[in-house]
Amino acid sequence: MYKKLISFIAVLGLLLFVSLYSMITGSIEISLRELITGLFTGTNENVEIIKDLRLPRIIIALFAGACLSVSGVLLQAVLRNPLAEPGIIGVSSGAGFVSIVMITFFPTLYFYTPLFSFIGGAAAFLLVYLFAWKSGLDPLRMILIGVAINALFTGLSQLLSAQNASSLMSGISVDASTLTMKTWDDVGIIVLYGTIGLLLSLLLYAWCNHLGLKDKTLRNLGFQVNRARFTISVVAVLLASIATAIAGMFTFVGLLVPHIGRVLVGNDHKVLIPFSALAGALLIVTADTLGRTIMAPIEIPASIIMAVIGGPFLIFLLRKSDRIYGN
Amino acid sequence: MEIKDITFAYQDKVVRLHGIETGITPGKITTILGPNGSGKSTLLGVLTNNLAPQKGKVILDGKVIKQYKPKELAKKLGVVHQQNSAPSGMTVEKLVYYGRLPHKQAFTQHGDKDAEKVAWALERTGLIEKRHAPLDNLSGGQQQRAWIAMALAQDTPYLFLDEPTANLDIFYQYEILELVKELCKEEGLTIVMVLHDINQAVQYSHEIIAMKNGRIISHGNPRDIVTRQLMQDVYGVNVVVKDDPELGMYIVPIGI
Repeated sequence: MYKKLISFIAVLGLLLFVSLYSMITGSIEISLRELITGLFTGTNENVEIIKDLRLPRIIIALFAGACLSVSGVLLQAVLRNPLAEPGIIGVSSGAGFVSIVMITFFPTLYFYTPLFSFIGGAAAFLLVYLFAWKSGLDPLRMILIGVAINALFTGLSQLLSAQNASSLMSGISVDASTLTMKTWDDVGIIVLYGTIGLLLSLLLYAWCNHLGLKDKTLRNLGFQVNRARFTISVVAVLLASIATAIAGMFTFVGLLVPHIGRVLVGNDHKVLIPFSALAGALLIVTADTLGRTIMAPIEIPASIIMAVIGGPFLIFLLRKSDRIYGN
Repeated sequence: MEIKDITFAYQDKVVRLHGIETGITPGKITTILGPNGSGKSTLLGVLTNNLAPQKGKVILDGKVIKQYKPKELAKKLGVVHQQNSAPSGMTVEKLVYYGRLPHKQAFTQHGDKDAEKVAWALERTGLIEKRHAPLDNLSGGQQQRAWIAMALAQDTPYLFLDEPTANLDIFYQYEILELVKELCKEEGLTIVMVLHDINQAVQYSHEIIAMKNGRIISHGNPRDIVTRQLMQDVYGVNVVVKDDPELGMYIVPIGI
């Protein structure tokens, strides 16, 4: 019980600290007091610049991390597969591909990018589900098909971006995310759809827990397994797509964060979902802050930083704990 | 429960049940017996609405089971499957609360009635002291009782058990069978189970359904139907059937 509480407090504290630190650090450095007074009075020029350039980026990093992590939790529950993750099984690359197509050919529809990326993500997920289904979902076959679908969409995206390398590719990059050049319009989109997705996922915690039992057991309890699976999948794809549409590709975060969450707060989705949202937000905002400060003025993409710190940390936690997932 | 002309095949099109026609007597223990591949678990799957037959229907309390709403059916029949799994860290009590799912409205909390039924199910299965223990820490026999407790908490008149004694030591096998007997006698449950052991079936069942190759060979009181000839027909095993005034009826296989 204490472990859960401490984990939550620690993540919240770190989240607040890193977010504030991120706001005052970078090419323009100010003190925390300047920042706060500046935000309220609107007279400090530096604070105005930070508000225009740095704050959107931080908010987007927070939401992208939360959305991708929760998407990972939901997919792992739906597919009963500890390796399921929007990046690995192709949902993110499907979403990214369709957004790139839309932006390349119909740049005026920019505001609808999340919608198109949702369609792309859903299509990728459906393909994985259909090809992997053979009187039940075999975890290994599913991951392999997911990897194949992911490779396909990543390849298609790279093809397209190689073809028009200099065009309007501001929003989406194919294999790494830098989170630069974000505007308050982007923030509006990710906050709106992200909040909806995150709230829906909180409502679905009981269904996610139920899916820990076998289908036949659930059916004999009068639980409509397929309806629950479908609903949870839609929310998972929505979350992953919105994050990809605005922040680009972040593989691995949907795998890393839920597993850290399981070790720290357990398998109950009532706790795991909110915890993963916070921890995912923390992870990406940290990665992005480090990425733009440690080798300034060169920016290292947040996804690269995340992989470099996240990988060893996951191994460390898994070695310490034998509770991985499920049964 | 009436079973009318059930024909069933999986996707491979091999017919596993051929026009099964029978009934389950309320308030009794019925055991389905038969060799591997005889269709006994398939029949149990059809009776519990887990498998949809290509032909025929199962009628429960005057209504075809396919026409029940999922929750309504789950208030009528509880099932303990052969292989079960629960997420790690699941406690006995949490698992048993799952039995209350059909009685619960979405987005509501469990009430007093639920707590009462869960306590009763735990008590009946002798798991009160283990209620807060994680399932993974229990013995095989205790785990099996926990799954039975979950089905009991469902508060259904019918209870189906698919090989409830499989993979258990003999002590736990009899513990489960004694529990089944008590549940039938004291709580008035109608019980349908699949067993492998003929002597256990004879000892604990009011009725036996003997199956082979997807057909019912015989159905009735064990004393009437279990004969040397039936064992030869169903299992291809040569047996001696004895009736002892103290032990009751028992069967000793002597060869093939």
